Amino acid sequence: MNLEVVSFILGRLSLACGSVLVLPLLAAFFYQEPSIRAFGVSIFICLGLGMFLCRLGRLETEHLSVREGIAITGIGWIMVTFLGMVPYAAGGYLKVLDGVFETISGLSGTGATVIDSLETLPHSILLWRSLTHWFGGLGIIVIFIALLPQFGRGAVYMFNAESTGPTSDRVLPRIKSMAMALFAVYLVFTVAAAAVYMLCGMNFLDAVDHSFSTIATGGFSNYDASIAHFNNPVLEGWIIFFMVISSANFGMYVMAWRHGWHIIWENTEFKTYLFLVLATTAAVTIDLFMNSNLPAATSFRYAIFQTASLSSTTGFVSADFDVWPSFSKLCLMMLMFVGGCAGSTAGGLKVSRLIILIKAMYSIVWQKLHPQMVPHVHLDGVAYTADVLLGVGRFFFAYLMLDVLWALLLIADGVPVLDSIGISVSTMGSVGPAFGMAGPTCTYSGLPDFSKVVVCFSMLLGRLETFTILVMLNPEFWHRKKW
Amino acid sequence: MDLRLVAHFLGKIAFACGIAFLLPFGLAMFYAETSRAAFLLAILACLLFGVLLWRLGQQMTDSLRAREGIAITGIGWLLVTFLGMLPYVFGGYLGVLDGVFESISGFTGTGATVMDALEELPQSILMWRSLTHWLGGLGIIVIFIAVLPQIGYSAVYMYNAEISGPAPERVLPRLKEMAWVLFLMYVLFTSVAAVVYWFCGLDLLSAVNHAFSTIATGGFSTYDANAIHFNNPLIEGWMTFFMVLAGGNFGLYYRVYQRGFAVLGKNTEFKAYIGILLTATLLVMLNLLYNMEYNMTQSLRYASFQVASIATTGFVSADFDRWPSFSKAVLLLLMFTGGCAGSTAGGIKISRIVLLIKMAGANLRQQLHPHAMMDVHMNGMHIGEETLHRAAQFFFVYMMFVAFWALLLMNEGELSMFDAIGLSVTTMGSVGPGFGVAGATCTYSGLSNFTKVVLCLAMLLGRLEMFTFLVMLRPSFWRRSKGW
Repeated sequence: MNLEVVSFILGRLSLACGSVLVLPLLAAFFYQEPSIRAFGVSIFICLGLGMFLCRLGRLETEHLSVREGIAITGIGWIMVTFLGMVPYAAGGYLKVLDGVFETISGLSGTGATVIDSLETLPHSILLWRSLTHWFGGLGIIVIFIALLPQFGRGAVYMFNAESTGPTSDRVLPRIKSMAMALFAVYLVFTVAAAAVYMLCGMNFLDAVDHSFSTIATGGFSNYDASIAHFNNPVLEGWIIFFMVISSANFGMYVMAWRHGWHIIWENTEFKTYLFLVLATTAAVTIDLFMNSNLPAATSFRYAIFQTASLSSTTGFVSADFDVWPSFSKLCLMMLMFVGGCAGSTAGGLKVSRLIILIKAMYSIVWQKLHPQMVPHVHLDGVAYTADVLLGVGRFFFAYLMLDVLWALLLIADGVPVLDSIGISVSTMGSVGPAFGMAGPTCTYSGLPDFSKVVVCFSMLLGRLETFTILVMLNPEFWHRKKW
Repeated sequence: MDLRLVAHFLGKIAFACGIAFLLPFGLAMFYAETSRAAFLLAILACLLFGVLLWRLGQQMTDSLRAREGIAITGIGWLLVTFLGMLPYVFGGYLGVLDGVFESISGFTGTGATVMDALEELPQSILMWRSLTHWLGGLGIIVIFIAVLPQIGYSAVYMYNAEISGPAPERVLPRLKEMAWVLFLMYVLFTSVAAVVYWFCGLDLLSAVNHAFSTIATGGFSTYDANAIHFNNPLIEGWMTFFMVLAGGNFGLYYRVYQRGFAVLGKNTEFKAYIGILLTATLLVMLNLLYNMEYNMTQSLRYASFQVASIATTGFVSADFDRWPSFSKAVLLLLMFTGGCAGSTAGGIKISRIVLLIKMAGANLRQQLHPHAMMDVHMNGMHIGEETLHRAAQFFFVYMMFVAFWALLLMNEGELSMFDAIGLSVTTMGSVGPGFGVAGATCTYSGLSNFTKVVLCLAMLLGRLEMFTFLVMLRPSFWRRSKGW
């Protein structure tokens, strides 16, 4: 464990955080808002911590092993969470626990809010909220595709498959080039979304904030009613478009840019994702049409938006789906569980894992008859070996177990059963809205403190795909010896 | 696919069913009940099927391949549940769908009933209900401990039976021997249970019926109120003991017989099983103590019974539908985990849960050493990746089916999401009582026909661990050609 490298990179991260905070600071100046002080304090702390850590550490080597990567990821997230909470707390807008909650919700792209009256907040604070989404999303893409591809073993696969497994040689230069490409895609999408939203009628700041929230599949809105506030079907349609494209593997976009658009049509995971969205939309539309008193067009409009929103794990709300029939709600909950594609900003189990599990099921059925045969699963020309399949199965189990654990803890804290299950699935999957007391028209402010802490863990572990954080709990992880 | 071999065995199964009918038939004659004719007709039907199938079939070999084993298991169950429905229908007690439901519920050891007024039924019918439990439980034990491991079917059961790989030759003689020992053990446990219940105050027929239901971890009672009817802590205590016993691995008990009780202490699954039951009891007891007006003794009494019951049988000694949410959530989880592999209980099975948890733990180590071998141990032996993979896949498919049934059940009008999930889990797991509309003190009679059909499928697939039926869906499974 090379603590110097870790410290140095974390220091850089803190400085980066400070520089990002300049944006809302500028907004605060521009609008003459009282939050200037809060942002000033935050920037000061970031710079201070950053310089301290950089001093302490040294970037002596271009080698970055798995352990350092994990440490940077894990500690980095926690550090940024606390730094990000400072504006809320220093400005007196939220107490510390709520601030931490809101920040984790922002960075993890969940979009669950404890703020009851968004429209009274200063623009700079709202901008900061959306920025946490944007940078959190960017961080996830870079971490999972560029920095630590082996964590997605079975789920994330780098096109061109140059780097498979953990190797410390030549990792940093490759990371840089991929990271730059991903950032470019991310930026282009964000700018496009903001422009389109403005054309649809949003003012500049709203468009920027919501575009950050969309591309990061976060779900924070500047309005308590979320997207229902706008009541604009054209806008909703465009939001759907951007949510869906943000749920695909961003690496796929980079490859498509380099090698041609056919890459996208050939991507099984994305096609499966689209199929899930369309099939569920159809089912929910029919259910709403037959069992709620909604006309066909409205049923379709609500169904497709909510389906796209929840499956992409964004979490925007255009209608109160808590009053929809149970069948639709169960469908939506299942989509929240599955989530988006690997290598996107979306959360959840990930569609590729679902595909692999289902294909593995077929191969087992085959194996029941031929007990000596080895199971084999293919996806887009990549053969998945037994150990990878095992990893996927194990992840599914761990993911579900954590969902159960969070739900049990919430139930023990007094939250009703279905609400607990919904909150658990929703926050692990980085979605946001759930059912009942954390439903689409509510906020998470009503939860007791213990439950809020549980939800924070749920959001964090869900976003970082569980094992990253848990691995750091093993003391062996910190031993200095090389290996 | 050697269809003649399959037919041969199915014929034997039909005959066995006919013989089984003799017991309730005898009872019906003894008490001069109206159900005599129904049972007679049922016996004739069994004889007819038996003769037909046996004639068509032929046993030419001592070997049993995977295919035939699976086909006999799958079709055998369908055959038996069909024949088992006949007394209910012939006697006019239930319509065909309800009869099939009750029969499947009986044989799969679920214990979900569509009969609203049990105490008005003739003793022979009640006896047949309990007998279906007993026979189904015996069948499950024989299939999963003796048959399937020998044909290399299921990694978890092969591991449990300490069999290293499939060996289709000379399977049948060895199978007969194992099946016989298991049968004796099963009869022994049942007899002891019946005698104990009798001493506790039940009349003879009640004692026998409930003994059948307990050892088969079924859940049918001869009283509408189920175990609430007795309101007797002594009976509940003994029931708890026998339920826990029946939820253990019968193959393990066989090894205890061969090598002594020390084997129990070394068996990871058994220890985990007891551990889970104790922990759950403690959690529920505390939850009840602080949230309901029960005192310490009552909390312990209700908690211990219901925890043991929900994990295996499905007897009800208190209306747990009125318990606080946390307890209900714990009970729901117990429906998932179920009993030990090689028991009559259902669910995912404790050994798989243990494997999955150990796997998740081993993974944390492996994140640091990506090229190291996965090191999972159970019962002192190293577990291969193949077995772990199967356990993980089983878990996934199980969950998928639970979600699938729940989705289909949403079709039912007044079913809330939680109740639907509860129903799905309880029938897949062969438990019995659910929550809400099919709750602890209710029956399944009020559900729609579509729901009943879905639940029948859930009970069948859950009991036979899904893959049996999935495999039979492949056309290549049935091809006549030899040589693979």
